[in-house]
Amino acid sequence: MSAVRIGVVFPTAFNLNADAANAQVLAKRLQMSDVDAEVVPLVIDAMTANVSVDALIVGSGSSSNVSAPETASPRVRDFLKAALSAETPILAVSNGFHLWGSLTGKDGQTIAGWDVIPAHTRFGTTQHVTIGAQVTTAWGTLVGVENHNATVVLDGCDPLGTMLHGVGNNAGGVDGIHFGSLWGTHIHGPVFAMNPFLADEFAARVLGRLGRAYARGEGVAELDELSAGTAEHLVRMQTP
Amino acid sequence: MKTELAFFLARVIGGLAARVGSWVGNGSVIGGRIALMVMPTFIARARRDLNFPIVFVLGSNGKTTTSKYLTQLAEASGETVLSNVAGSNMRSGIAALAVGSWRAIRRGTYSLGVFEVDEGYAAMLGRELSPEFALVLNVQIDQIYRLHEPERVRDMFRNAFPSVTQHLVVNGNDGLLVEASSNVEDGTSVSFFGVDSGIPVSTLGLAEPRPMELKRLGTALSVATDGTYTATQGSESTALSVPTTGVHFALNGCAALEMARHIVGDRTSLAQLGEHLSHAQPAFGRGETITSGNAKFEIILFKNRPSLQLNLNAQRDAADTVVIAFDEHSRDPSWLFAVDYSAVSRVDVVSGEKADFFELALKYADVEVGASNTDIVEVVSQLDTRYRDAPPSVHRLFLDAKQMTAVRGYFGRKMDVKK
Repeated sequence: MSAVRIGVVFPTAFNLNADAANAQVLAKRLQMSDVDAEVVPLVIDAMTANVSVDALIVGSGSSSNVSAPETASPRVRDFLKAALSAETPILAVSNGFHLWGSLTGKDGQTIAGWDVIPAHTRFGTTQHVTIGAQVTTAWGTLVGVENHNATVVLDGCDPLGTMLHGVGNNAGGVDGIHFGSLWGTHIHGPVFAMNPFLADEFAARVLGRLGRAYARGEGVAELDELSAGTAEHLVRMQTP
Repeated sequence: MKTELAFFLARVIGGLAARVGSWVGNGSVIGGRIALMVMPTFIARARRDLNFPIVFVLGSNGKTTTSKYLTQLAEASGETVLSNVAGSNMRSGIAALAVGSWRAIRRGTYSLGVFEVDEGYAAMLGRELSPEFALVLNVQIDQIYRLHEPERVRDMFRNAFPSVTQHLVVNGNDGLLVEASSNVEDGTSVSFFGVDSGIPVSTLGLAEPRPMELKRLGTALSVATDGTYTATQGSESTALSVPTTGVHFALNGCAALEMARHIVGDRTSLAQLGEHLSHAQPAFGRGETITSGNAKFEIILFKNRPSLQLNLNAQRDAADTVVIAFDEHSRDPSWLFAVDYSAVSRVDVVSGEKADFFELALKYADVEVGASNTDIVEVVSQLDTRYRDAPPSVHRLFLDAKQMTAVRGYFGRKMDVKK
């Protein structure tokens, strides 16, 4: 059986908060569950060549990476749009999630995005930093860190979850988006490592799309015990 | 008159506070804090009596090491240097330095000031002190929860550059700094240092690495295949040797050489400066080795993602024990998951308050973890007890700032460890 290919979009530029690690975490959990998996870095040439992937991770970048011409190029947009149309499971984090919709900068200028989901992001001057942010989702409560200056308005689609602690979309008391096979969130960094229930739900969707079942490997439990401790730790250190 | 009275009171009350603070073990910046409370413009007023050129040393990483190198180069060339090399690099630290050194300043003891400055205070301290020189080492991904993104740090530096009155040195491999360096006033010159050949610039931990195209205007570092370094200024070259392993420390040395050229270059040569640098001592905790009986403890400070990565990459020789300790100083631990741990196959102990995060990151990176113990002093004490009378051994400790202080404190109670 061929390896599950987990693509990471612009793995250097869009890894400001270590979001690319979600691909390694997912691959490791799959491997520990007897599923062959590999991480595929997706720079512009790979996306132009339309390489095949079974899952996508889009991390967060700096503001200049968000507005870089390469980021919003039609070649990138077409690749990502095709992945979403093909129901490829996608995790998009912070401005790696904002880019999927339309964007307005701090000064009111339009920033070119991919414009494929019904979400509009307006960047502001206030930075929202929450250590120990918590989001209630359909599968459990996400714990992590958010650090962004965005207000996200969803147009008739569902958020990923409801804010228990933190700012999230900074509108409507919710965080992120759940649109087709795309999950967007402001919880950045190793969200799968910190929240294994989300990683497992994602893994099940990746394998389900390939007609395979996901049975969590036994060795994963030790990692998940550690994860539970780190999540509790972050909540203990919670900032307002 | 009122200003002078306020300045006098700020110095006296600040001095008293520093003395009381030192009795209770917290004397490093309290005098500066109090002086600034009494007179918010204390630093700008103090500058009128600092009758010597001042160098700012700025950057995400390497400030303390480079300040120490530069201070040693300047002193070897005849300067008497006032420096905050102990690392208090915010406004209160600079004010405390002035309070604590006031008599020597008034006596005209110093001929040069070397001040490392936190990026968040660079522009303000620039306006207050109008430094003649500034040396900027790098913009790296650092403390995202506080600094948000590298471009914001670049802007902090760029806003400080107009205050530099004579010469600015920046890292020529750093695209963000090269771009920002155009923001100097007419009459202020700019030069560069950086890696010219031998290693890819992408391995330097910079937010925006670039080739050092401007090498003709500064000091270029070449890395040979045997790991030795050569510094070149124009047609002159010299071997470059620094006391701590790693290309990032060699780059700090290269930066110090480039800055020294503009301060003391008229009375020395690159070869002499290179010779002085080869005798430099590491800044505390930066590759420092503490020996207890037959056991050597290597202390390697890390503060953020690039500094841990560069220090991991720099390790060549095997150690008997590897310990990593991480504390609450780094409030967002996400960056642990962006580090490439392939340089280590096993970590014997993870320690510090955030040991759990480290253990999780290491295990996902397929690095074996021997044990977890949040108390770093207990970990080091056990190693010390076990190994000091055993055959010779080396114990490598990668430590976050507070953990380093705790370890040095442990050894300081047993032996003479430099403060």
